[in-house]
Amino acid sequence: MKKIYKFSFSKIKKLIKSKKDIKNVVKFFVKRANKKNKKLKFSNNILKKPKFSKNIKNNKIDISFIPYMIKDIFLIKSTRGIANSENLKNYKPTYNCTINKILKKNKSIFIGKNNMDEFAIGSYGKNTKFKVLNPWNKKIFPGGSSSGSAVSVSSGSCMFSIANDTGGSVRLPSTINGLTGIKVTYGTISRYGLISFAPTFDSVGIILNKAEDLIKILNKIQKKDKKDKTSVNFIKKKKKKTIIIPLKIFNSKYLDTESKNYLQKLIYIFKKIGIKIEFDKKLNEKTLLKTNKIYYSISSVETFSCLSKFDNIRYGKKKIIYKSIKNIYKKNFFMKSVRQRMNKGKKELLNRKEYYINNKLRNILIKKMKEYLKKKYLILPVISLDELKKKRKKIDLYNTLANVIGFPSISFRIGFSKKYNIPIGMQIMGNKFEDKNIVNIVKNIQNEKI
Amino acid sequence: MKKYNFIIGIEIHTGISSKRKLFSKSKIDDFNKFDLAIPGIMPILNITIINKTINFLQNFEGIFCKRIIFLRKKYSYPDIPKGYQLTQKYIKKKCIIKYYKDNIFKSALIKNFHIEEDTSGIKYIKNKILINYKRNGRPILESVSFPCFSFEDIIFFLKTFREYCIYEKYSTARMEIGEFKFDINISIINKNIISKKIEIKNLNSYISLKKSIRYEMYRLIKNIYISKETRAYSQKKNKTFFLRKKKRYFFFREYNLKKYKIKFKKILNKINIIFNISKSFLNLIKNLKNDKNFFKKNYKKKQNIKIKKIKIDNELLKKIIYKINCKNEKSINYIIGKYKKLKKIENFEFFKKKAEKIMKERDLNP
Repeated sequence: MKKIYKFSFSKIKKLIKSKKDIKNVVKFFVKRANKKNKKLKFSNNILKKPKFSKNIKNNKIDISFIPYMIKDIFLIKSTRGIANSENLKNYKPTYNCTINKILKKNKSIFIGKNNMDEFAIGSYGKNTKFKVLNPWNKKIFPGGSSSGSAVSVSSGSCMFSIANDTGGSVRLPSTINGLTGIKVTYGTISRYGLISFAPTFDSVGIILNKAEDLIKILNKIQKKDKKDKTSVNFIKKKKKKTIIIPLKIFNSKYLDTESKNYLQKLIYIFKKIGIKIEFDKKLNEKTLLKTNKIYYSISSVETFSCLSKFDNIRYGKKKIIYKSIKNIYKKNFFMKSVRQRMNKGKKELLNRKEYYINNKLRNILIKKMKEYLKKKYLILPVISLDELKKKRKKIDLYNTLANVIGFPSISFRIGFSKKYNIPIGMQIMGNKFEDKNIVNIVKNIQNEKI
Repeated sequence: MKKYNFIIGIEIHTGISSKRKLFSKSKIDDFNKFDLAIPGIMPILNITIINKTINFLQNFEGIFCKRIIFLRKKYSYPDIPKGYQLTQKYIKKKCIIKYYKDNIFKSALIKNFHIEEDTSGIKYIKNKILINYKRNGRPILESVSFPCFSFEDIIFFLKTFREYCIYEKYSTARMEIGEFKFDINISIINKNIISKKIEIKNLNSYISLKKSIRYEMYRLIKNIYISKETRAYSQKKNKTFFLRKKKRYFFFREYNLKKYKIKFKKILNKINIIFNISKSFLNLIKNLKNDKNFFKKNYKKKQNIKIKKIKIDNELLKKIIYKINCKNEKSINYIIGKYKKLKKIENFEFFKKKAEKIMKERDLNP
């Protein structure tokens, strides 16, 4: 049973032959999760005795008997607390989210919940009182907002973890931890039971080790849900054979030298797989900066409306008596970053012109990018590594584009930086409903390396 | 003597009668996870209510919207658990409702109709606030008028509108429960000066409407330069009192619901039936029948029913008829009965004509 967490799903399934083997797999992962959690602190509640079916006939299902974790932003009945805020620590959810229901039907095993930034706002993993540590390099932040779910997979305490992506919060921590993380097309996975602070950008993501297992999970999960009216049926699309490399972004001063060097290696691999390469000079850093502005203005308006119900009156500590209304807002219910986002949304609404212009710009961007990626894919960096030590606001520069448009994108590991002792990653973006084609490319890349 | 002109505009809230709530599947006397605003739950639009309102509003002149979009109206009171109220921009706008009062033609100009979610009820008892979540999420039709009413017309219009709602079975409109409420906006005109408008909220009966308008008129005549404010009426003191200054709300789209396209299933012109039966509309009936331009749009009627060809066995008929001698109404029934046993009859009138023709031939040539 040593290093079982490095296997693929099909290898684990070959090991399971009787009832005892299932118990041993669960015991191994729970033990390892508790052991690793003491140092890294990626979870607040790991189940002591997780429930699982003991019928070996279920071994035929692709993802059965495989332990997984879920981000704290989903509501699950048997656990306590939501959204990782300290004031909602004792909140008891009264129902299960649909993703957990689907995974339960397929007999995979729920181990526990992951920590994250409060209400999934923030991209450093530091906006909570339950801070997570990076297993690769403890001086560098683990990335956010789904920091706990990336660390729990990379430390080997579960096989895959489910999270949500509003502004690159799945892709960023998964690259820093050397994993593959996907953000699916908007609405293909139901969001029922998820506290989303910006419902137009939000979509569900998955973090795990290898891309070949990712297709098995996506086949089960991507369905239409009656309870979520934004969800849509998944449509299959043909494979495309060209990929765009935006030269102006890869040659700019902002991107660091180490990830520039890995581009040549990637081009070599693409030729081996049989994918054509197209160099392009249209896509600028300026357009990415503009999308960042659009993202922050619209998302902050939506947080102002979505999260304002979490006040100290209806949720949280009920025994406090306030003398006036102003005292309610003085007492800190939210972390500072959440409050800043909400205040920005209120200012944005008072100056209505900008908000409406940004909404129109967003519609134009969707139309243009649909033509741009008509029969092609796009490759982009996830993060410039110079950002890791100097704190600037550009950290989500490359990631917000996929959220504003609603297209799928997947991040994967290509190398290792010696300067920071942290793995380097890239991301591939495709048109709508091309999630599985993108995953297949990454799967081929990962097979080629080994 | 000075003369003052008053302008009055109204907002009418009518509760729509339905079994389920507007955005959740809970029954109307009950509450759900969505009504309590438990995190993570998303709204589901109740389409039957929208189809009902479209059928109801088809009888008025105006412009329908093409797609139904819901908005979030952001403000924070204890009676809204979600932190925002779900409303609409309009479902039908620029409407005209025409009516007759004492044989004089009048028209009410209505800015827009829109569907809304009701807020939950509140009771203040000493230091505590009691909130009734059962009322939260009930469907409401709000109709906002232009300032076009005079003091004498307004009650007559409200009475006719209420009875029309009841006749259509659109709402029960019980005023004591609060299914039929109205807000009023008043402003005064003196030569060149128009005062700022004053809103009176949550009026429940016609008497309180009359008294509150009268009180507000005297207040405005005393001082025209009163600032904008919203007021409420108390029955004990026979007075209106200050509630708050006019507030500015934030509106933006609700993105958890998709746009819903309107589909017109039936095109009906029910008006003729309504005015014959409903009693308070009796004044209208006399004159409306002569008024041809009551509706500008005359809906095209489809009358393309093809007449089927009818087959009758002539020889069989002759055999039956020549056996009888008499010619009565009874005899035709006798013929039909005999013919029915052997073959089907598709059209009775056509059959009767044919039988009478043969009977005439029999009488002429016995």
